[in-house]
Amino acid sequence: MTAEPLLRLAEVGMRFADGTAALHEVDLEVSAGQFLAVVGPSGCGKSTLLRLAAGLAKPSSGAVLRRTDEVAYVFQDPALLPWRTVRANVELAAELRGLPKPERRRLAAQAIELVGLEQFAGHRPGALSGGMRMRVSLARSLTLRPELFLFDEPFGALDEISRERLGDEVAKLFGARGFGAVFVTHSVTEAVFLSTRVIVLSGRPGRVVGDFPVPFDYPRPPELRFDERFAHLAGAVSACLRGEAA
Amino acid sequence: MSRVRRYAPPLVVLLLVLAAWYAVSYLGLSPERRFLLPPPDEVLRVGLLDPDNLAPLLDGLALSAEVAMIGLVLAFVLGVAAAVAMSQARWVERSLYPYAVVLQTIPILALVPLFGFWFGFGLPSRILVCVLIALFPLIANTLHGLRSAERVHHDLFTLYGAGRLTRLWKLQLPGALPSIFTGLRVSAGLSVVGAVVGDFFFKQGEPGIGMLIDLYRANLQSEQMFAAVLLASGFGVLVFWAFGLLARRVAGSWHESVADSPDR
Repeated sequence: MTAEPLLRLAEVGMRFADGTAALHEVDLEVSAGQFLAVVGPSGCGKSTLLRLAAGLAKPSSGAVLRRTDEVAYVFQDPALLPWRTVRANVELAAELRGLPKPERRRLAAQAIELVGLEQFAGHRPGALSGGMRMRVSLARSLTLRPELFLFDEPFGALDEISRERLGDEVAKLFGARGFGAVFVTHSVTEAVFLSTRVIVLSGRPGRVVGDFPVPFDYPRPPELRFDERFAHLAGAVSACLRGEAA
Repeated sequence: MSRVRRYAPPLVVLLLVLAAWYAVSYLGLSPERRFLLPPPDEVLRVGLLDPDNLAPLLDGLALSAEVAMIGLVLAFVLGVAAAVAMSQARWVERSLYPYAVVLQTIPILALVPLFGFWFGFGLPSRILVCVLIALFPLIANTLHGLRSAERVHHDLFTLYGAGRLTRLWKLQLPGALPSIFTGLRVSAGLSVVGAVVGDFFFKQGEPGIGMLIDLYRANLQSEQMFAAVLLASGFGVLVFWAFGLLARRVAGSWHESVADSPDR
């Protein structure tokens, strides 16, 4: 990768106030056009890694360097404001950045169309299913055309079908827009299907113990999940993960 | 069917209470002691249907209602302002909250004569009683509501560079609305109590409903006294219900606890 990375973590360590060590000397880089998936046993500091990358927390040691301010964070929880309609929720990112109303209306309408929720633009989140709420959350993060996407197990709470469908959409978006992404998940299949590279973290304190390039081209068809090479790679990642969990 | 299910249970309770009331009036009390609890139809006939008796009652109620509502508005403004200040800085909360609690625990009744002593017996003192009695639920509920915004929402606002005011205006205050309404309903009821109690103790100035209650008690006009008590509590219920209605208008479409409250 010749481009200067959008995000670089250099020997990043994180220790909480109560003494818990969450991360230990983690190095990683993400450039535009790279989709990095991070898997690891639960409690290994995956979410902490993203919070550090987003600037929501400061590392105890090492350095976090971001070359862009256009960062989108997709939380595990859709984080919608229940009193706002879908449209107003999607507009929120642009609104907080101070964009004029017609502009944010236009951006929101585009993003809502992209996730296929035009018919529900006037609904409140309470009236939507879990998968639809996640779509709204995705649409909100898309409005400002982020260069760097951070995903924190965004589809973890959804059923298998919604999860795969949203995965397909993220892969399609990535293929079309070529942003840089860090995607934290506990699903190996999801990690391999979406990413250009899978990183395996050890148990707490998390450090990088596996690094698997993913050779498949975009757009990736949903059937790729049943391909033999896919199964091999997923198996190797799983084995590495199991070694760590043991 | 659902209407029957909704209205039948409280109606049955009302009938039982009325039956017990009649039983005590007619069976429990001899005719010469019946003034202790006159039967409901007497209260209605003498206290509420006789225009000569109803007119002063309604005037008194209007005065007390005015006092209670001015007190509530002031308590609302002060309470929300105090809660917002406390939500913005821990040191403000640490400085003020203990005294808000004290406000709740001191017997206001003990202070009522003092207020008359210091500020006279006119509207200001009576309103002050209402403000003091209604303030705490507004502070406590608003503060709870302002603090109830989830971390993930705060993170979102941080990510997009939102400042303190934006966070307060677009995240914390809208999220606090259901709690603020809970506080308003409790405080509205308390403010009516404050107006009646203040009135009852001042015994000077224009008569509100509290003073009338005391007057009827002294004159053994028990039908009028019961009518006054019923009117005062009826007004409290009306205010409580009105704020519930308002809460549903504002937040019922997105907040479950507001939409599902049982007193519809």
